[in-house]
Amino acid sequence: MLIKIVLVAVLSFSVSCFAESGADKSKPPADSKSPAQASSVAGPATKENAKSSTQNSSTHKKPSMVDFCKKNPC
Amino acid sequence: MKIKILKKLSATIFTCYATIAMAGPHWSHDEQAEWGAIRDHSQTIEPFTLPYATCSLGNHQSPVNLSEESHKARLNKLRFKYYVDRPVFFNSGHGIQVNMSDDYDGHLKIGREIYPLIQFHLHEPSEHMIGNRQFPAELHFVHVREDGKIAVLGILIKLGEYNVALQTVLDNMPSEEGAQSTDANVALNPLVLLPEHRWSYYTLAGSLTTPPCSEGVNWLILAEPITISSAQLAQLKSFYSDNARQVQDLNGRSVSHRVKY
Repeated sequence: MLIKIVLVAVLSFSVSCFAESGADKSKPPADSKSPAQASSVAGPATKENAKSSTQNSSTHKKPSMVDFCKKNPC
Repeated sequence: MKIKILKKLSATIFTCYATIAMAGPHWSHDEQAEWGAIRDHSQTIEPFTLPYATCSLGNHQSPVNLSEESHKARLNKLRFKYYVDRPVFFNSGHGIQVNMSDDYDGHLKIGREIYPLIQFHLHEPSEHMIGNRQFPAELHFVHVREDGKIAVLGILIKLGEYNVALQTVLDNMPSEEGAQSTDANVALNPLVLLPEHRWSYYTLAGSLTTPPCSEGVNWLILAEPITISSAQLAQLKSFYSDNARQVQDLNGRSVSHRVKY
């Protein structure tokens, strides 16, 4: 019984996490989607987004860019 | 026993979540002409954005066709401060990649600027060309500075002698897409992948060669290629082939070429 309760709790939490990740992606491309743009390598098409994301990510620049390049070819 | 199963289940769910959360919309080299138009279908609120728009709209895109007649300039010497590491061998789904460990201290020094080495990966065939010549493969060393500035070192690979260092990479690479060998415990110094002569290089402002194609990347392409044997090239192709972006217009950019004075 206890196992069932824990399983349900874990699954519920994971579903809510997925939903939240979808909501995050609806924001302008800044953090997880294109961390490259959150740094000094922003493209001209997204300069405005980059400006705002630079402010947001000033304290997280290194982790976001490094993490991105470890999960993607870059 | 049951607790162990529960722990494994939780770990699996969180791994799946982390993977999905970090990934953007799917892309492939086969459809590179349409990268700029790929939509993020997870977006639910308008206005919808095109996360890879820079791939189409950018005018400082990479790779490019380098000319041997490029502007010869007095440029900084590249100082490769790479050290031995026990890296992670990662099959990214787009190519094969070697991620340096989190506490890795190796870096590239350009003048007074220090660029920590984060990872290196391979493309087949080469992305950059020299004088319209495409090479069988290309190695990219990706360096990311604390302020987010990126420098990528490109090393062209020609057919020739068996390459011991490349074989280490090929032999330890997992074949499954998305898999990584965290327990490889293989000691590797990226320095052994560099050509003997490193003083001559091309440099220009460019972009990531894969989505989101972000610009502002400091590109350095060594003039001297390294070698790969036919058998090794076949092994590389068994992982990924044709995972190279086509050359992009220079759009007025100047390419500088460091030569020995």
